[in-house]
Amino acid sequence: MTDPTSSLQDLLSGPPQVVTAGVELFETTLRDQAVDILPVEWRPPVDGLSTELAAIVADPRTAAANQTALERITAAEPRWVGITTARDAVGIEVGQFLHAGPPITWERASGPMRGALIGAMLYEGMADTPEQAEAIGEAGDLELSPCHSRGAVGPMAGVVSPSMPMFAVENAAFGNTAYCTLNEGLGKVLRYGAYAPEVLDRLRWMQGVLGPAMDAAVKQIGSLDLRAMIVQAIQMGDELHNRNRAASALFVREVVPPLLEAGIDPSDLADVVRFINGNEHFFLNLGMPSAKASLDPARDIPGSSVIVAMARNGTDFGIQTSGTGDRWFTAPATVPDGLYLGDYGPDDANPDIGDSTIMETGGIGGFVMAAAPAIVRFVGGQASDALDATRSMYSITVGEHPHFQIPILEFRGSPVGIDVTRVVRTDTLPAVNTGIAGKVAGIGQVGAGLVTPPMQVFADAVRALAELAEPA
Amino acid sequence: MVDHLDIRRGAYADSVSLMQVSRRVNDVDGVTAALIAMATELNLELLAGMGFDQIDASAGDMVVAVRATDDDAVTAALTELDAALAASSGGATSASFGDAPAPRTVRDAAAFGGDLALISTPGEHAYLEAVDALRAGLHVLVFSDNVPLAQEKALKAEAAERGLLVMGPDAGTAIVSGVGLGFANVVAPGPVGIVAASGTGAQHLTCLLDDAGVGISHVLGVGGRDLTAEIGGASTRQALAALDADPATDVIVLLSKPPDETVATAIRKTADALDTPVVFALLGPGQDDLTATARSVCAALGREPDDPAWWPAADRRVGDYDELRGLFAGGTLCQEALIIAADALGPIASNTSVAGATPLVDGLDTPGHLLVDLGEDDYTRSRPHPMIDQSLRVERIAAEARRPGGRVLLLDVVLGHGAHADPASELAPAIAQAIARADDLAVVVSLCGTQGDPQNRDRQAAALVDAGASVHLSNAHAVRNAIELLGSTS
Amino acid sequence: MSASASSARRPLLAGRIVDLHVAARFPAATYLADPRTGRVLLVVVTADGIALPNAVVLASRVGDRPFARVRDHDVVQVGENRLLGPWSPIVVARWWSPRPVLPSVSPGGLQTSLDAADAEIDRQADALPPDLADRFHDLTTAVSAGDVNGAVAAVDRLVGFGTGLTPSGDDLLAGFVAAVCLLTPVLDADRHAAVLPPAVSAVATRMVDRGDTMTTAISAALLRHAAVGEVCAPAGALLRTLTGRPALTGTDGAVARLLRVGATSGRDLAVGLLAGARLATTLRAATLRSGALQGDTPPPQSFSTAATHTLVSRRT
Repeated sequence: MTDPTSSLQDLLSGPPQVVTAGVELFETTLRDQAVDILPVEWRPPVDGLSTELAAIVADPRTAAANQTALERITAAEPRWVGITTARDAVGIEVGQFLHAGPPITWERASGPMRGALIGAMLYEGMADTPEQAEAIGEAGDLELSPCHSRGAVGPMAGVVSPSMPMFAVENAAFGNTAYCTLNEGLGKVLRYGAYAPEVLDRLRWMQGVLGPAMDAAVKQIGSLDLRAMIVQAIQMGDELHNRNRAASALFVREVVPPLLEAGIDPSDLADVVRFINGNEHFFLNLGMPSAKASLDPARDIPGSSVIVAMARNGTDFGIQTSGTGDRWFTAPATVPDGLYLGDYGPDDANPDIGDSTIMETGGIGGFVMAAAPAIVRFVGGQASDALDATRSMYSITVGEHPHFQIPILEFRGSPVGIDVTRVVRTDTLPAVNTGIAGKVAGIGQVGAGLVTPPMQVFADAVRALAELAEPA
Repeated sequence: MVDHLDIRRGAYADSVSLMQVSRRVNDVDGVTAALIAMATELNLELLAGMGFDQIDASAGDMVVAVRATDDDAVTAALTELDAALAASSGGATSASFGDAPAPRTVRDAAAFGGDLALISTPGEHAYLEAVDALRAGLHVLVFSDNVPLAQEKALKAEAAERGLLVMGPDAGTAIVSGVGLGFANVVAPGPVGIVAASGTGAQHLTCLLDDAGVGISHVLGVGGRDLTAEIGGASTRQALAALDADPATDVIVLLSKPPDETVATAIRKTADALDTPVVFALLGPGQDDLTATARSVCAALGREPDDPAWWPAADRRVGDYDELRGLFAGGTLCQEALIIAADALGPIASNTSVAGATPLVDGLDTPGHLLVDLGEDDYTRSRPHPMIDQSLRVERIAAEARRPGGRVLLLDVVLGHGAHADPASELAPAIAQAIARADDLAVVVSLCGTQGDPQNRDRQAAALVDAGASVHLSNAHAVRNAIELLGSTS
Repeated sequence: MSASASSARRPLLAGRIVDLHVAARFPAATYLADPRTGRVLLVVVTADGIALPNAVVLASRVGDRPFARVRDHDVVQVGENRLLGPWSPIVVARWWSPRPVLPSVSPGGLQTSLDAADAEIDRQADALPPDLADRFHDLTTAVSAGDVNGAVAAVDRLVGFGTGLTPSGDDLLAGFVAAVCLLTPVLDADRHAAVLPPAVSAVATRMVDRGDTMTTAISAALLRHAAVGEVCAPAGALLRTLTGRPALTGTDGAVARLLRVGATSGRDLAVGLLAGARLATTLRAATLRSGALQGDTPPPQSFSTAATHTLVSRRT
């Protein structure tokens, strides 16, 4: 540790280099004295929450708790170990569904969320027609829980029903497992609320053919190191939320040999390979449970202000922090700012939806935008904006990820471990990339862009943490 | 409506670029729909959905579909398309990496280095930044006032644990190896180290020593509350230890109001254990004033200084003066004046809490002897501190000139880093006018500054003298001069 | 432009305004001299230049080209804490001392850091050329033997010896004298009672006198400062490191930074400084022993073996 006298002597051994925060006058007087200064662009915290922030910062547990959270998140070793039916993976029966984001009811659910639930009811045989399914929804005869409450994550609507196959991703460092459904591809798909017969046919094919084939493949190799793939994909220009090209290609490279060796019916095999090879977002549904499996061990550390989940259900945006257990802090979700497919526009867009913000929560996605400058053009920005996005995230995170390195920032580790107190102090929102869903069920993706999370949820989390804070 | 549809075989751009291009084309006046995309299955479906004709194209082709109100709009759209496609291939518009975003907290700035953090945010926010500094291994000066006591305590406990120094909260002045932090005067390096619980007190002492040719090693401000029973002198102890270990410091001065009794005993014990001699300068009734302290410090160094500089008024106005009216910018200077004046004149109306002060009954118009600290919160809520902004004093000088009866007006003028760039330019005309208006008014100025100060001390003095004031480098001398003018019976 | 300045030049800089002339100009430094005597009185340097003991240090860096418009013999008005010349006005708003104040140190402790510093110089820099080493050897031998005449003669052979703005002989002398001046008091139990050995005082006086006529004006100015223990910032930093200031990133760092000064100036200063430090240490150690052993005094000459050994071995 520091030798007290040496540090004090150092201070007096020569003109100090001064960090300044506050009144500009003193910055000026130091410049006038030809003193080397490091000015802070200080601003008051959101909602003037200084007292609450101070209570959290002064809590003797907080600093160590946040460090522990960071260590756990970055020590994670996510591996794909198999395919499990949702029934076994997350313990749901017919009539029970998981969905993306914080808790939601049918009444408050958005178009794509309802569409996905209708599709899932049809798929599970609970209803024969969309109208019947809707009636079940209206009657409240279905049980909804957030994916996050069952160790799972789901992109977009994130609807999971008992028969769906799910990727099982184990965190080898801690022994916990996270689950996610398999990616259906683009166009008309359940996760965007589509439930046409072709959508259901595809789901059945995934259940009957794709799932077993994938499981057979992974059984051939034992398990697949997903952290290594993420590391490599970041270096190849993916941010692993909106851009999964490299990761999906890497995945194909890894999975085809064991698929060939797994003794799968040749015509099925061709379909399976064509399906995963034709979907450049296939890896997203492995990246998300990787992040989820990495973040879950950081939950429930008393005093920690690190965010362990950010998620949206198409109506609300919600977050959970380590120190506040399973409590969700929510506010209305906004429509992402982005570029639209075809002649779709903002009026066609649904408010922000999906658990995919688990990527940013785990220090990937928007947080490694600097590694994927192509992404920034979704909002008409420049490559330098991608660098800025990542660089400004260091001011709201506890530390840097030792494995997820960003080449253009001299291989600096990605910013990771979002500290909700720093979000509120610096008035800096997490940079989140996303796809944009159409607001009418079944339209599918209408664009992609950047999310502006509601600041209120972070402020509320700070208030809650302050109430739980122990005095210094 | 006009539909334009063409296929550009072999042309390629990535989908994101094309989405941008589409948006630009969509924005052209008269265009109702546009899709510029690679002819993938998905995009061809989209195209069909938009009501365009079926086309025969492969995924390697670019399809351009524009629907517009008329042919002119289509032409405009295609022109825009070419421009947008050209722009999307990078080149001229690409920006450089640029600098990292400016740090928003002390932690983020400290990642780039730093020895010390100077925090001057509003008081309720200062704790967070100060803790950031300590946890990054930086010493801190908290200029901000109104920091909750519990937070001050917590900060100092954490600093002690980490072997760091917290100056303040409410530390207005510090000098570290010649670097002035907050409000500070330009002084030469030398053997005197000061631990100060008072900002203007420290400024005045450094100026007097500078005038005597004695340099300063460091001034470590500890804030007005450090020597209270609640805080127990935590920073004072750290500062004393630091100066004791500093080879450049031969004499230490501890400058404070008389501290809490228990704390005083503990601090004296600490001071006695140091190798470096400590001169106690306790500002209170019956104690040495700062001018006498400066003399003791010189004596401790084996020097015998001349009297502090002063500049007599151009013509000595012998009048029948009854009242002493002091308008101060420096809190400690005001208190020192009050202690000296109360001794000679009896009770004096003031807003400072010193023995001999009586409350203001009619604000600044309270009759009789009056010495006010215009730097107090009551006067600085709606305008800047009088060290930075002279407007309140200019107003009050005029108001005093309108008062009936003979009076001596006593003002302090504080120079140095952070202070008004040319206070005499505003005060001198006000003084000259007041003297012209009221022939029963004399003005005495206590000038706190050094020859090195950016305001040019001697020119400030000359301007004030020209206006009719007498000017004293020693605050105590200024007060005594004012008392003399009053022809006090003491 | 804001600037800080050496307090050694405060009387000139803070006094009445006088005219100086530009004596020499470089991208990182402009030297100012008294037009009547030709004596160099000040140097204005950039923040990334060398803070010489007579320097005004700008906040600007060499890349800002603060001296772009400066021509030889330009007039610069100096005084009232300002320098008005072919640049935007320079305001001195802070003072620093070129005379490092060092903490008390034991001869043994200093010896250890000197050995480390010597090894570092051997590793990082070329040895002194033989003729220069010979001349310097004569100086250290004479001084440690207490031979005043020999020491003065050695000074005469060193001042102005070498090439460049500050000839090597001057740098060696400057480092040597400054180190003895600064370290003798802090090696003594009572730092105010310490007295310089007569031979060192004679060397200091002689090098200043000879400097006026026998070397460059720039170097003569530095010799005047060195005679009273005023040195450039990297030399001061090395002295502080030698006397146990861990803040200055260790001996390696401080040596390396001093070696980067000029072409050979840094090395020459460093060699002179370390030799001076060794002399101060040995003299003090000898005094301590003579005190303890009541007359069983090893002759102070014993110093020369240690100090010159390194110099001689470096020659081979």
